[in-house]
Amino acid sequence: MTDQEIIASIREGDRNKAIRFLYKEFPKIKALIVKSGGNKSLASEIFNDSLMLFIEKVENPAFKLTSKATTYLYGINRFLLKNELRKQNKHHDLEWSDTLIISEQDLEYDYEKEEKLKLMEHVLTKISEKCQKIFELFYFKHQSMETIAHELNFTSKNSAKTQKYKCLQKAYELSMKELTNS
Amino acid sequence: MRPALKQFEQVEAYVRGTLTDAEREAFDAQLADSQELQELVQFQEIAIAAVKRKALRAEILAATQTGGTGFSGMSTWIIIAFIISVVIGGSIYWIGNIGNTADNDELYLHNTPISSIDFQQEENRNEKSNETEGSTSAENSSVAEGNSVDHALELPFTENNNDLIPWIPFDKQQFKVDTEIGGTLEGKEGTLIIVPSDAFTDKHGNSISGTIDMEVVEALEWSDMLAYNLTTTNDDKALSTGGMVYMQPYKEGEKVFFNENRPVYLEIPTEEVVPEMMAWQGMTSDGNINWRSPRELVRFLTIIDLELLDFIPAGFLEEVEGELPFRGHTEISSNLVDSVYYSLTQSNTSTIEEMALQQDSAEVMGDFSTISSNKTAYKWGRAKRNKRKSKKDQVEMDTEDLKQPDDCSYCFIDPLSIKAIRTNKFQKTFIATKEFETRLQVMHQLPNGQEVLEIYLSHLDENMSVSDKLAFRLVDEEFREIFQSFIDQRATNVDAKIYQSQLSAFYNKKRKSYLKEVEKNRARYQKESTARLKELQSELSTLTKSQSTNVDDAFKSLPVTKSVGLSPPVSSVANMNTYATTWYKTGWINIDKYLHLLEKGEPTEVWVSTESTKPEMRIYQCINPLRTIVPLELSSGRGKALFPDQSQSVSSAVKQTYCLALSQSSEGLFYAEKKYNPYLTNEVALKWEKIDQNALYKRLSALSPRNNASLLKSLKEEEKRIALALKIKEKQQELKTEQERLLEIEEKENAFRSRLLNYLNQCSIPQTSTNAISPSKMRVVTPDAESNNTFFLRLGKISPVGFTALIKNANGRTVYETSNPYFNWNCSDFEESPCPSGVYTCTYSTKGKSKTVTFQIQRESALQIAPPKRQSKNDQNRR
Repeated sequence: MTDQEIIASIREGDRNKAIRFLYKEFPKIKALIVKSGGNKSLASEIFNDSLMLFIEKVENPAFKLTSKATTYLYGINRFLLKNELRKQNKHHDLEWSDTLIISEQDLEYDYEKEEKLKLMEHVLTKISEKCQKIFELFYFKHQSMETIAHELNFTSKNSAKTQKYKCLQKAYELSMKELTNS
Repeated sequence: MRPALKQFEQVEAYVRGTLTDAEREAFDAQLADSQELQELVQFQEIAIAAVKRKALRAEILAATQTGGTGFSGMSTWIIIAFIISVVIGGSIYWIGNIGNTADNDELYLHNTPISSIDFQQEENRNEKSNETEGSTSAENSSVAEGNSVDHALELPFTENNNDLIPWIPFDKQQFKVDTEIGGTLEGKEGTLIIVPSDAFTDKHGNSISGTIDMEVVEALEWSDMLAYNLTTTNDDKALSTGGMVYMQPYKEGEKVFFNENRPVYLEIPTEEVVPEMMAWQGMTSDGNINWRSPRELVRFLTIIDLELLDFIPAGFLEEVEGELPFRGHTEISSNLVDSVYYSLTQSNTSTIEEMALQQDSAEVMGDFSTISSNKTAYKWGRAKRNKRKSKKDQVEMDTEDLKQPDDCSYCFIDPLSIKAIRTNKFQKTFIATKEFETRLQVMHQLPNGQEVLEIYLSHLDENMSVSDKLAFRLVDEEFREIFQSFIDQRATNVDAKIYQSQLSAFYNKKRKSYLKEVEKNRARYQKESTARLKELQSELSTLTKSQSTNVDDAFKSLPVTKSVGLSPPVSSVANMNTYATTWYKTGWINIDKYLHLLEKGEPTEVWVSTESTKPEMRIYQCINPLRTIVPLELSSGRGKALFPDQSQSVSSAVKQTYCLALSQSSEGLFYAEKKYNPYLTNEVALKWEKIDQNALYKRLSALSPRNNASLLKSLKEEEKRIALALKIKEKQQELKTEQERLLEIEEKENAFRSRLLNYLNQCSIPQTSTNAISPSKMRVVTPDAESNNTFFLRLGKISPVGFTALIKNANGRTVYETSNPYFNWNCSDFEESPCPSGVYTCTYSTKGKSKTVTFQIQRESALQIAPPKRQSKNDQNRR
């Protein structure tokens, strides 16, 4: 796939194709990460995060790729690894070939926001499955409440809607609790 | 405080931009003024972003883990380089590790996986699976046969140039496989080859049937590999390997091929997992072999028959065995172990129903994990963690108990949960896998095992690694490593459509119904065991009832002449043997007359006694003027008879009188009589003679015909009464024995159960059930992270002189001693190491008086006094 194809397919919603293609870079990235002071499980984590960030970036229509897609991807990985190493108070020369050196601003990486998102993702695992499903279908897959009501066996669109808000309420409460705990 | 649903709706619209301009302006205005609203907006923004991320992550995960197609071919050599960890029974990974060359990168770039093979994830075999040894296994239907064939290892095959020239001849093993049923072949060195049915084709790809001769050569040891000239190189780069296997199927002497749609599983025992392994194909040329085209794996899970999986906690079977005999069982059997295990459930219908209700009504709101931490059903040491930090860190004088574990019980996985998942419905989920069995065994050791279990149960439609990750967050530090290794396995799922909600509903239903069964059985057993007791009790009450009526009858037959308004002497059952009247008090009218006679002048007294006292004896004195005999009141076997003054005219009638004594008891019937003159004798001693009824009758007739009839009658009544009393005594004895027997059994059973419960128990909190030995509330000391105690002990007025206090642990070992009555104890022992959670006693004494108080140390961390058969790690307090 060419870079254009990758971007196009992501923007059209066919993320799987792009993911699979980019995943081929994993072995090399993994090796780089392990060599640079990480370990295998960290490598998987970082790589998956990088794919996620990459997709998020590309989905923004304003985004313009200024280097090769894989180079950019490597850059994201390097950035994430750097963060992680900093957290662990380790240092390593991250001299990776064919890698774009990306800064925080380039990536528009907001640490605080990332933390919040992580927390929220955790909170989301604590709500019921049905809630999670509703959210996924509505906010991610952009399905209509009617479709969702039908798919999840609600009696009406309104009861589905109400349930969604109840779920939000629960998630809100949980997140408030988490905030006070952490 | 809780934002209303409407507000969420509004904020959602705002965040998603679906408000009209006017609405948005209005909302902005509201927003400026309300902090709460701002928080809500922030929350929803983040929440929506998080939902998207979560879903995206899941997609990424899914996309990167699916397998591709294998390809068929014919090769024979396959290098399986892998190692299995036996620590927690990890799964088999079967890939070759690209070895220790410096140019790892290049190697990776070269060998980008074209497609990955779906490999079987089989656990290290254990004795339970039914493989055969040696050569044949045609008739043996293998463990996994028919179940998860689709996920077998596909052997990458290449063209076979079988011109490998070994240094020593190959040790070829021959197996026969019936294509109809497949088979499990076990090689000499432990390789397991599971062949499904219909696993072979001819060179055109058409299935063949019949008996296949499988030739297998194992080269698992380095020595073998060297001997067979099997090098481990890939284009000049060294590979590190875990073993090689050669397989060639033949039909009637002709080589045949493996069916690519019915792949074969291969399993080789190893020592250590290296997750980097890949599978390589071997190509032989010029007598040497070269390995290439490595493929990464995807680990699917294999379904195993639930019957073969062991979900009961490790060591439980041995515990039960050690407690036999029990209720007539003298030998151990898996049914016995299972049913004992299931009967140890601590849940009851109300808790389960409550849980089910919670789930139904809050189906969308409550998730599995909150339901399962329902505190009335199970308590975890964790959930009851006392976060209170006390300012004082001393054992002070104060009566207030602080933390008391409220009706706490055991923490372990509800056996009925286990029973519920061992049912058919779960056969096609990852419950029925070795991987899950491994995890379950670990869960049994967790105090919050039930909670963790229900995480897995509510994510059956997802990869097991999802549950692994969630579980990881819930477990204590000491278990995190294990769960991390689970996560590292990146276990996926079985290949079956999973309907999560149906399974959850089914699970709850099953638990309920099992619980009903258990309770029914308990009730029935209760009924049966006390049936005999009840019988005896009713017999006893019938007897005692008839006893009292007998008394009435007995009195009715007494000679009462003209008793107007005078009732017979009342006598209680216990006083039956003095059923007579006192000489003066109550009386029959005739005696009154006699009494008047006595008042004239000085009555003569005669003491009558028997030579020896007999049970139930009575002494009667004949009163001649009245022509009757009356019983005397006895004290210490002597009775006083009064006669009128000798000067009275009536005295002549009395000169020839007699007295007699009777005793009827279990010893027999005894009689004594004496004729005497009261004016000549004042002490009469009666001699007993054993007698029977007829002889007695005769004697009495001889004495005085008029009296004997009623006397005999009353004797008869007496006899009946005695017999009845005897029977009653017997029955009471029987009853007592039965009660004791039942009590003994009950105690034994309780001991049995509580030993087993203790074995299963994972929290350090002792049970305070109705069977508890000390029903009193036990005080709790909770040295938390700052070693603050929360136990205050009032010692009352004690003299500080000569005061000593000793603190001992449950094993009787003294852990602390002091002579300071105001002592502060930091819950550490003499060597300054913290005393683990458990029950302790404090015995304090002064001036010879001492008192012991029992209390309990409850720590947040998993410090425990190790019960004998378990491993426990002494842990540090948590941060």
